[in-house]
Amino acid sequence: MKKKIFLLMLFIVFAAVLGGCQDGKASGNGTEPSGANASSENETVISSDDVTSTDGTPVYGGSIVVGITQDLDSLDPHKVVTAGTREVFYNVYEGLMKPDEDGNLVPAVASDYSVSDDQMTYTFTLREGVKFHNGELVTADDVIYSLKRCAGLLETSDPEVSIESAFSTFTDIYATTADDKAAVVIQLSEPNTELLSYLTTAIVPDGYTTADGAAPGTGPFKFESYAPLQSYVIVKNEDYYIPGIPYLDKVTFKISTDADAAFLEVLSGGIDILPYLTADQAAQLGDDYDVKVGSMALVQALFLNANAEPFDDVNVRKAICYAVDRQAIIDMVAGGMGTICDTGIFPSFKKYYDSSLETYYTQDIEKAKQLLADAGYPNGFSMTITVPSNYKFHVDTAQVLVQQLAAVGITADIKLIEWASWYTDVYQARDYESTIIGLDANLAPSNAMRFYSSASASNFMNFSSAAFDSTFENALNTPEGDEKTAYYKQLQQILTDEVSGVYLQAPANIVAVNKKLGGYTFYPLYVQDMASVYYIAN
Amino acid sequence: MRFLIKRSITLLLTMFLVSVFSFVVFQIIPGDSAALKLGLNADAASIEALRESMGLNKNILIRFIDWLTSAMHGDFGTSTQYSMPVTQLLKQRMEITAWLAVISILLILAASLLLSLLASLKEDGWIDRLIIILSQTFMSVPPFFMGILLVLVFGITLHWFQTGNCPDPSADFTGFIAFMIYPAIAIALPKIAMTAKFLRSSLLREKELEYVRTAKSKGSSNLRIMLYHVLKNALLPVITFMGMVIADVFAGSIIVEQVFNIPGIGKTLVVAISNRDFPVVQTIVLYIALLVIVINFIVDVLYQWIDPRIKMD
Repeated sequence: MKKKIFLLMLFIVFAAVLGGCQDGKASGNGTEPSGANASSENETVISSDDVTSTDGTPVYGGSIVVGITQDLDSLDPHKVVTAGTREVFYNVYEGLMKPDEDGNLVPAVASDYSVSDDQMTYTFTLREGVKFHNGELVTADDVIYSLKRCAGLLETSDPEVSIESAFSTFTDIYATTADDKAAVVIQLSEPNTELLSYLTTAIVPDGYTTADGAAPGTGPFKFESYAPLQSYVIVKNEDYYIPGIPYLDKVTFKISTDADAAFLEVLSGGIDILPYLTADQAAQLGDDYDVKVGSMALVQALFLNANAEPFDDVNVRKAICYAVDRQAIIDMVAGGMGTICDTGIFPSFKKYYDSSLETYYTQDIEKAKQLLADAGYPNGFSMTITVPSNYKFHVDTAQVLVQQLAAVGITADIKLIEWASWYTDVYQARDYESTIIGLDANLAPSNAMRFYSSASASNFMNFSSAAFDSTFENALNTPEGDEKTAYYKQLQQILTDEVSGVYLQAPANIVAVNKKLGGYTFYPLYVQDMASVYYIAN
Repeated sequence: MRFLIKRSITLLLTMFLVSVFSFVVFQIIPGDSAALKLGLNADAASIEALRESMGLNKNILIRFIDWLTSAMHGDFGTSTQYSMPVTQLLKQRMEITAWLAVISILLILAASLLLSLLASLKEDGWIDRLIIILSQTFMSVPPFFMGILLVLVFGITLHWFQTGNCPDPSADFTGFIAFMIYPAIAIALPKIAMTAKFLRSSLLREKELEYVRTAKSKGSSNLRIMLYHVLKNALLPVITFMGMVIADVFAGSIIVEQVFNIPGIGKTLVVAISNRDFPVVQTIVLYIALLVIVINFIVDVLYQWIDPRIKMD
């Protein structure tokens, strides 16, 4: 008898465990419909500027926890290279210029600027009364020191400081006055029409070195504490020169190098804002969170190494473009959230993006097969897609691509490698056949195009086009305006037509935001702007 | 004494081999910490300059000797990712992982002793059967899976603790322990199952021996016999086993720290490997090797203490 009761209990336990598993599955399947909803919501969130007005009345004060899935590179803003750190430091450090949510550059530490007609002399008038977080006023010396440090022009240089290549043409930086206000002049050896977008480089006090600890900045929040692998904490800068912001007293960036663990923390209520969720995760969020959908500032593409057979033949590259169904990829890997993108600039970079290219290649299996046959591969071929394993999104995409390529007779294998290996083998040594990666850019259009000029060290796809090189030269030499925009659109057409890569999508950035909070804003580049976030009044 | 000297020499030799091994492995795997640090936009010249200043351009042998000499002076170098001395970076992390391990080990000891005693009091009784089935089940549950289950049940559904919100032990020690219980359970459960099963069969084996019958005929109670006579003898084989379990607990903590997002040694190791942060990886590997060796040493000493018939030579 006892035995029977015991067996019965055991059975109940097992049934409960199995039942739990089934529940998990069901919620996974439930992703699609809710994903579709979110994607229709997508446009309104991205395009409308009145998101904040629907968020309720802001109140001042309070503290929040924001999840980040990458540890910081450094507390020295000039040593930062990862997007993950840049988007945090946006709150603490500012340059002469600063990007706003529409992708425009607005003066920050500078209040005004002028550019000479030959595009070789830039004059910045410093904003009056801007203070570093240590209480000292920002002077021309601080600006000159910061820019020189990033240009590698200091007498003793720190090899860890990431040198901004756009600053390589600096011949002189000096202090002056303009209308009785302090100003800084940057003299270039050759014209640069896009220098402003690079002048977002953080301004730090004269003489600052990494050994001094976290640098004082001028942003809306100031550094409070940092514990490796744990947290980066910032508090309100009471002296911020823009009155009224920030709203919050304290923001803790909680470091959680495992994205799944970070999401579990959201579910348990420990994190208020977590960006870069997957569509599945978004569907699991409870009632306490809003799902906001924006667009990531990058283009995801399958890059084909043009020096590796058979991708040296442009028709083979085109065949792959016709073999791919981009919408199906977005549906499969991101629950329908994401924007088709078929060129080297992402859609949220509205000013330069050429949306007409989105339909340049639409899936056409017959055409793909024909192109392959003409190129001498009537029976297809086999290829390897090398994917950095830390990007689950790219790995998932690769799996869908394998199936789509099989339809035209191409057998693709996926090779997963670590990020560090991707950097050396794929990016530096260019020893690969194809790879999936997302390419980002700052607000300079030339930054998005830097990969493709034949001489570029970043041209890991070995793309080579005389038309591209000459048009790029023209684009760089043309001051901002319609002509420049036209050049960049032309460049995008070349990239698409000559298939510098099989461009797939601008992935959606899905963010979980605690319902008590309002004002979360998307930027067309890597920014988590906490100055606009506030608690909603009851 | 001779035993101690012999042991120390083995220890040093093992440590040396381990450090050579992890150094060599680190040279073989692809990835360049200088390039990683400067990012995709860096030009070749900057990467070269940084490699030079990090000493990466020196001959491998010279680099190893450099590292070894400073390590012997207690200087384990500077973390390439965090630009701070490795010892400073690891100090607090070691404390956290050590607490996790201590709690897990205490749980394993307490639970497995209790369960195996209960089970062996009456062989094939219903308690015994229940314990056998449970241990069979939990033995096959890997710690990371148990960790996820615990997070789901106690963290997300019941809100008994907040996932990933590991309090600072120096500021809030009780909160820290209250949090650590859950990851410790995740690590301990499969080990409890194994140890309990092992100890149970050891106890049952001892129970059949003649001294038990003697004690019984002397009139001692069952419980008394178990606690004072059988247990001590039965523990002997288990102690060797515990040595392995303790080493396993540290291995388990590496994975469980990911699940619970605990900033301990394991998490640091994983991050350091993907960032090719050589000084950190090397130090952690050595630290773990040292731990395993020391634990084995303690096991040997315990052996002798429990059973004086065993001579160390």
